[in-house]
Amino acid sequence: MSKVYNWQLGREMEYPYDAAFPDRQFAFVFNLNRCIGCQSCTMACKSTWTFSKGQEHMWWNNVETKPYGGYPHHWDVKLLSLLEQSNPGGQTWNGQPADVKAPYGQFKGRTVFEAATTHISPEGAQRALGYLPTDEEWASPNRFEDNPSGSEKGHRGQLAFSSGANTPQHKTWFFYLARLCNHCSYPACLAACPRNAIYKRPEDGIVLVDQERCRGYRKCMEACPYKKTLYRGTTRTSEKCIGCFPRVEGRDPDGGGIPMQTRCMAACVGHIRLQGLVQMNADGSWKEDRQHPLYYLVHVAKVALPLYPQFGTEPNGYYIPPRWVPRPYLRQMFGPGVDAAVERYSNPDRELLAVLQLFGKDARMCFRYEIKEGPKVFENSIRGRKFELFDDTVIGYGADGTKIIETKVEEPLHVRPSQHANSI
Amino acid sequence: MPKNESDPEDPLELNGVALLTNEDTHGEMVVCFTEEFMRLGYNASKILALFRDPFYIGPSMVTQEKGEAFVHDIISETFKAWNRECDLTPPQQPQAEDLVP
Amino acid sequence: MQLLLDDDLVEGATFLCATRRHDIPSTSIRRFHQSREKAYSFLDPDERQEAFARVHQEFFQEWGLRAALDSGLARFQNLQQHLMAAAFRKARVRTEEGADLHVNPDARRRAIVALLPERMASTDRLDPFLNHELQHVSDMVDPAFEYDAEGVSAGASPSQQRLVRERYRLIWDVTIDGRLGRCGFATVATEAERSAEFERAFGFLADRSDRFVQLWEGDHPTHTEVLSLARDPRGFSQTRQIEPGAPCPLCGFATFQWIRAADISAVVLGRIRKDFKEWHEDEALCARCAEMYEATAMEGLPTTIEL
Repeated sequence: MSKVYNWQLGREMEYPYDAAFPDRQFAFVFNLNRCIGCQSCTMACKSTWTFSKGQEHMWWNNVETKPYGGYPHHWDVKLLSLLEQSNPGGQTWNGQPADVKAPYGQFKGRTVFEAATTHISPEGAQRALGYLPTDEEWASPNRFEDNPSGSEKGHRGQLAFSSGANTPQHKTWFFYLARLCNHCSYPACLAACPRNAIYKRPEDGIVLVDQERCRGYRKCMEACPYKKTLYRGTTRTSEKCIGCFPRVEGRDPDGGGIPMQTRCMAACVGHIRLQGLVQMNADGSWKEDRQHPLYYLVHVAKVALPLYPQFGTEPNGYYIPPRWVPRPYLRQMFGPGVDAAVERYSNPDRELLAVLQLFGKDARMCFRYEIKEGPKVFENSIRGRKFELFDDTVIGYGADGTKIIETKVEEPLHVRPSQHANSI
Repeated sequence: MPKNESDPEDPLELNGVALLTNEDTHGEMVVCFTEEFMRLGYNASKILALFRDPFYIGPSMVTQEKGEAFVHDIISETFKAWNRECDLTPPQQPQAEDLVP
Repeated sequence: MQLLLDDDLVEGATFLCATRRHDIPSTSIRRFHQSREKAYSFLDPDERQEAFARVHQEFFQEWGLRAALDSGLARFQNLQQHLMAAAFRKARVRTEEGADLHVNPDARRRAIVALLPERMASTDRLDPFLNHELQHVSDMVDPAFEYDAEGVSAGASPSQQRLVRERYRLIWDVTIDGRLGRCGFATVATEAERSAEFERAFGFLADRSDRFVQLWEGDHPTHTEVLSLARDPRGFSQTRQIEPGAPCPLCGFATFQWIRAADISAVVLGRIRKDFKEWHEDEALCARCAEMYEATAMEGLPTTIEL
């Protein structure tokens, strides 16, 4: 085991390999306040990468309803429970949020790597605490989701269906959690692979499974706490999200040679997703890049938080927590940064409103933004606070400095005429 | 007819799902979706259509649970708070001829 | 009797045994992985598939998994005689697990048992399951049991059919676990668990404890005995008594509201007699039927056509 620094936990932790970081890291922010669970991202991924024989059950990208759903079933509940068993009552955070090296304070509990040192699973010793989901758990990815139920008689012009009428419906809060591989900085899948078949690319930090080396031991599936590696029975190898690397490399002809966001990001109709490549320091923390939209959202506005940071893999997927969900649940899922993030997001300042306009505006990756100040549109009191809205213009630039986005805070919506094919 | 013991994996079982709270947060959810889509440029009637459409499970569930008037009122208030013009007319009871068999 | 094995089950079971069974020598597990490694070198998908199947079959045998199935089958002597083949296939979900009997047009019978590969990695989970499912098959092929699959589904309405099927399953399971237990075989449920299930299903029977003991300790029941207890546990069809929960002689639905013939008008009685010639006025009828006949008589609606 090596000692590595995990900035999301605000401390050093144990990891089976020495730390090694890419020049730039694939990272993304999902704004869960906007997700309406339409599954367009899921289908964009499916139709691009997992439509072949043996991949029928694979959903590299999925959207699950929390707190009920999970793909595989109950993946997070099982992991949290394993960690709790390993360290009863000890999975806590404390300390004050500090700088970029410890923005959420310090995690006092055990990560999946630390807990594995004292835990023997049915499969023997592990490098990361985990479990191998059964076929049954991978089946029915939308089991336990809320179910739509209409009536036989709908209003004119609306869908009327009753297929879900007999299945249980949840009568309380819920939200949609879109997930894909987090291309972690300390991947548990990579740590667990007995064949060294999993590697993290030095150029963008995308984690890949070498199909030539993989021999289907499924240790990666057991170790990944997010359960984002899957086994393909026809090739007898494990597969996972490849971060649409040809697009990230700028090889998609539509991008004109500059890096593009992944298919799932570009297909999002709710504009909840923003993906990019962030610069890294030698210790794995993010290099200050004040005008990078992801750096701004994660380290300046601090509205975007990692998913289950306590697992210790330093995931590179960040989420703006849904503001209507009770805080204890969100704190468990996104760590102690939740309260401040929800507060800041619910009362957005001038810059945040402008940066949020960058989401979903262009399929090319934004590496830098600038804001041109516009006139004050109105002043009011919202939720008991003074609020001023400025019609600022936000401009986004691609990898080579090309201007790829120019949009206003008060940007009108243009609906494309029906004679034009829709395109993602 | 009782059968085997309760099976937590069975989606049709009456599962006791332990929640941290049973707070009713439907109202906050409507405010949130309204603000989000308003900022994206949707007008009020387009947002209301989202809440009516059963394809959009979350928003549609609020309409089913609380009724359209509840959603309608929150959308109108939110647009007013954000100084935007609201193109919704007051909610009306559905007429018999509006119902399709 | 032929033993047929599904490749998916064999592969799933050997994979899990390689990681979970600690009694297998590490040298054997190493050989297993080396053999799999070679199979990866086949680039043609069909050749690769065959190569993997061979490896998995070999270790399925070597690690005693085939023997476990063989010894399970050997515990039921009559299977050898009555079955042409016993096939074991992989179940993807728990609800898919179970045994089915398939009969060819030429009356040759095959048993197909679906099970999760996870069961094969632990004898504690495999043996009780095999005993239970194979005892079902053994009963089905036993001429003395007189199994009739269609009879179980027969019933007046879908809800009654479902009720009968559920009761049939429980009664049969009770007798199976009772018999297996006496032979010293592992069972899927204990006497206490089965008794609790029986208590919930037949709580309306005053003598349910005695009935359970009879089933648990009893010898080989017949299909007809199990079915008659499932269909009419209180024996109403014999007594034709006016009791809560007994079926109405007209509609056949269980009723808790009886109406005496003496309380019905002559016009209504006449209409009922016309429709149900075998009905005796001392039998009474359910409140719903009385209401229906009362309503049609009051409305002056025509009586039903005699066919």
